[in-house]
Amino acid sequence: MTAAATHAPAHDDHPDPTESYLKVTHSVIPGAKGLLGWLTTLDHKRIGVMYLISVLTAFLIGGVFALLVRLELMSPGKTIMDADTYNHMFTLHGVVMVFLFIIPSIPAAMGNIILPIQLGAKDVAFPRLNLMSFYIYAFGACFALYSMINGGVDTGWTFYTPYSTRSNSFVIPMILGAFIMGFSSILTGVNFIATIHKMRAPGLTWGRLSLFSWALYATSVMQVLATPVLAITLLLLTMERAFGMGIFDPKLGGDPVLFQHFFWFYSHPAVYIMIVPGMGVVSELIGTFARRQLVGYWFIAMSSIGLALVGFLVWGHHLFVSGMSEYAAAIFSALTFLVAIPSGVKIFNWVATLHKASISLQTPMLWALAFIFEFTIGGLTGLFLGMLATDVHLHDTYFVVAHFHYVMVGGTVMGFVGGLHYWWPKITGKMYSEKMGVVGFILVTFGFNLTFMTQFVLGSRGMPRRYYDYLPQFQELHQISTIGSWILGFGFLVLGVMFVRSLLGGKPSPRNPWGSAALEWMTPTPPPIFNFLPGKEPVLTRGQYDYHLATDDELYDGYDDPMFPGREHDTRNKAKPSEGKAH
Amino acid sequence: MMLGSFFDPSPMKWDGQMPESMAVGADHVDWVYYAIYYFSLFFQVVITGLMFYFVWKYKRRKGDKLETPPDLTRIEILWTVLPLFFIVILFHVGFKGYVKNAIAGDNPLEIRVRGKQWLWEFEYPNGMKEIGKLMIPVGRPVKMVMSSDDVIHSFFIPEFRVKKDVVPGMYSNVVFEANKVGSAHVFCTEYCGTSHSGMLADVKVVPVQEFDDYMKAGPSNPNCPDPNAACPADMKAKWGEALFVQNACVTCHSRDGSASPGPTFKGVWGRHEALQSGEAIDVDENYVKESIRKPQAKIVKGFTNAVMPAFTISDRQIDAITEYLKTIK
Repeated sequence: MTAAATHAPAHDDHPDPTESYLKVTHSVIPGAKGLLGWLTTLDHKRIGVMYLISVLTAFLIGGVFALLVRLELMSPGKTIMDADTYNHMFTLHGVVMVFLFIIPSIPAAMGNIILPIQLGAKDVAFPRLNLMSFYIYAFGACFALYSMINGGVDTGWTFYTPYSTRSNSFVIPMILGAFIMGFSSILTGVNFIATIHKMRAPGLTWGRLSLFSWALYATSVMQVLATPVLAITLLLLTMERAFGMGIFDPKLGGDPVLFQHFFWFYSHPAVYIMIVPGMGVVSELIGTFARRQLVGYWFIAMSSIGLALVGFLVWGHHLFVSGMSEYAAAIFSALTFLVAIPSGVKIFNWVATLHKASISLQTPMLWALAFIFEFTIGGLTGLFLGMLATDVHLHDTYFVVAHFHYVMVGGTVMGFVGGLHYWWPKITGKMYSEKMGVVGFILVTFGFNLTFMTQFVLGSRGMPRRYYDYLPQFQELHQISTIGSWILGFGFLVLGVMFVRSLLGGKPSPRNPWGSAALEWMTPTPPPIFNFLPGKEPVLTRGQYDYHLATDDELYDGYDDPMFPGREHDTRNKAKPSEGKAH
Repeated sequence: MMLGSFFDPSPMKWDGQMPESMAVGADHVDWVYYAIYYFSLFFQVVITGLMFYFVWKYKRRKGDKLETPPDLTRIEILWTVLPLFFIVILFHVGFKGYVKNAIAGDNPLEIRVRGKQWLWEFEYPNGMKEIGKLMIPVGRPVKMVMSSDDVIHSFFIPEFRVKKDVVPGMYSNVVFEANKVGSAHVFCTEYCGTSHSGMLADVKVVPVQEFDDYMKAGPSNPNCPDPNAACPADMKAKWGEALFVQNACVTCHSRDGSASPGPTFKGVWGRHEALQSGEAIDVDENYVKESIRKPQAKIVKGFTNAVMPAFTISDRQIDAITEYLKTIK
């Protein structure tokens, strides 16, 4: 199964198995080094880093689109662009953020880097397939880029027919891009499922699996089952546009509402593809920084699976006002409420874990706490939209925009950024400035709430979404929201500078900078090419959160104060960070 | 019984989150909205309050011991099952309000609605048509019978708390009963292209008598509505301007030379226009008439993105609009 991984050393090149993955690699072309070594690598960590660079680039582009959209809404009428440009901007913001950033963000980037190490495996089950997934993603991204350079699309990221059939923007390359990227998503899912089932280290029972792995497992199942439906839908849309086949356009005898059913049958599970991995990251962060076994391990793990299953049954709540029958609406509303249970279970367990814990407020933990705060708002406002009476009023208004940004940004992005802070030392071997991290954190959370809290009120008062122009009564709230978006953008800029500074001149990280008991911190930082040193492949005798069973050697390493690892003033005094490598 | 009365709507004090309530079902929607709002606020405060308290109380100190949590299976089951009761109640209240708002009252006034890129056309039972303006009698059930000529639109009146997609190829309905005289807006809430945000209509809720009078008199035009009276050019132009606004031409054709979905009408009269077909034409009476009746016949080069709907207005009205176009310089 790991043919590539096990045979690689038998070739001419023998990458030193004790050397960091950043220095050596095994690749499709034996002996490839430098840039070629990165582009042809079979190492899951390097593939993950390539994903990470791609998704961060997409996040930057999508973020700039968002800031332009908000800037245009500073005043009614024309502020900086005309209506058509605005329609392209919000569409591209959505498409880039959904398909290029958020879906691959945690699973493909962080999952690739961390999952095999957390399983105690050398690599994923199919390393070549993994590299192919990345290139499929890149290929799809090229289509999207081609569409953008030629003027982009103006259909909204949902591509609703018959508008998308008739719009004269570059719809076909864009949906082909999304179609192709879907395959990347499916293949990564298949790879992860096989890896989790077959590659776990001895002693790593299902009950000792990290909650991040559980979350990725649930996500992979959804990716494999739901993405083909999107592929079919987009293909049908392409057929209709290119060859005039009547499927969705009523002028050709089609049914436009059918498209919405197809689209949301994928895109609602996709919401869980986006949020469940974020929840997995938060479970890791809470465990590490509360330094405590998580309360309700099985409940958290199974709630991920629960979300994956229920997520398939609720797509109809996007169609409450689409002309679906009242009975169908009632059933979908009832099913939608079921989502509240697994989500609630996670939140209750995280908070309960903090009880009688030993909580360290280092930057990754700040993001985890922000996740709980923002995601709770996102989840509770979902109740307004699941309830039929209120959804009719709030549907397609700014309330919906605010709700899903609280889930997607307040949830997934906060989890992603928290995870990036948490695993940054593991990935790069460098520490970053905690102070800048805290400043960035405060700016992002403050700016985020200012931007989107106002949008709840805008929506309740009746401001529809995707509006270029608006009535004067909405201006004040729009202005507050726009100012919030600048603070939010500035906060991310601070974090960007912080990470770049860390890359250029950050202090070397000790093996286990946070004092975590999880498996990925038991191996050198950054990890060697096959994740663990030869002869030190892990055999588990405890779970990933069993702090009471972890030895001091495992938890405290490379710094002087075991209670406050990673603190700058502590490491400055006497610790020699290089000691960590000896382990 | 007590529970029943508890779930009945009661007028809620407006505290700025919802727009003014102007229809019968709106109070129930507001009641549901505020009930869930305070329910959510309570849970938000409890959850994040506990979180911040724990973070403050159990902040890491020297000498902390690493403990395993006690077995909490009972509490786990409690907080897994208990929310089920909440959501059953929530579903019930939400569904009740929805059904109430989906059933028309007795003998409703039927108004035919056509959504087009980017205007709302209303046709009353007596055959009178108006664009961009909706008259509603107070205290009478109304049923909107809606269809779309092009893409999906959505009919939304925030003050009535009603919304329904307007889908090409099928009819959809919205029912309501206004209970307050005043004005409101119809918004389009399904993205439909360039001027999606300009697809608005004014709603006027008026006493029944006023509504009946209006139906008899027809839409008031500033000048020359009488077909037999003579109409001098300047009055004709004024009438044309009113028609221009009334028929929502203004949504797509700017009058100050700025870019708009359709060609700007600044200096349009006599202009030499290159057409999409490769030919060219001078804007005259015949071209104006043809473009109103059959908009797709001769499209100005570069304006294929938006599809203008055909307008069935009288020759006299077209004359008036032509007269008005001559004055936009």
